[in-house]
Amino acid sequence: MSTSSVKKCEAQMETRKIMSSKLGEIEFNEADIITLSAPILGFPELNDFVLISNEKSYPFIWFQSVQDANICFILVEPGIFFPDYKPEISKRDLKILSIEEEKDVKLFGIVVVPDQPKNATVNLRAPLVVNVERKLSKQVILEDDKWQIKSPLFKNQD
Amino acid sequence: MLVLSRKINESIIIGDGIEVKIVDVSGRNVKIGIDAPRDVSVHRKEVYEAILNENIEATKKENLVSFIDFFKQHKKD
Repeated sequence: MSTSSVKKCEAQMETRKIMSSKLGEIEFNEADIITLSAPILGFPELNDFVLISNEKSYPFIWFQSVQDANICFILVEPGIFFPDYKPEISKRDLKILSIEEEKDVKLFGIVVVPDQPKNATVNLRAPLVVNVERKLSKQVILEDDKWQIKSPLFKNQD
Repeated sequence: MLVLSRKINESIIIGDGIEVKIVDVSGRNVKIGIDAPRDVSVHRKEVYEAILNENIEATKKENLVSFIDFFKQHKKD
């Protein structure tokens, strides 16, 4: 390996910092960035995000934009709350995300927390599908309308 | 907005690769067939808008930590 390619490797692994307005200072590795193959609806200019998880927040995960410190989603793996959630992802979307094997795929639902946390919902109709191997993601709108955009996370909602 | 009249089985072409065909008309319902390249997503507008609004709503919560605290409490109950 030549010196220049070693340097390039190092540059790719650079750590970066972002001052998230919701989570405070976050340090992440360039290699951890997840790139969106298509933007999340409503956020056409944001392509790069990092997944931030820790024991304290489990099972919820943050999805922080690298480009906009103010944009951070709460995600959850829907299977934790909805064990029968196994939606079919279209071949078209699998191709866009370069997904070849099932083990490369992770699904996340975007959580909405209204004023009353007990009324929190998760969007099961349009999950974020992530190719964990290639660090690619896309919000996929499922054909099957049995999954609701506002699926309650908890019982006894108002 | 461009408005065109079409009969059943007639199409319009948008750009190079998108074909929109009137498949059937019955009463107030129109069935439309769409052929588009795979990088073009096609959705019913109301679903598209509902998801867009939901995404924007999802980023509005100011205090994420309070939600986690609520969840922890909820689990204990």
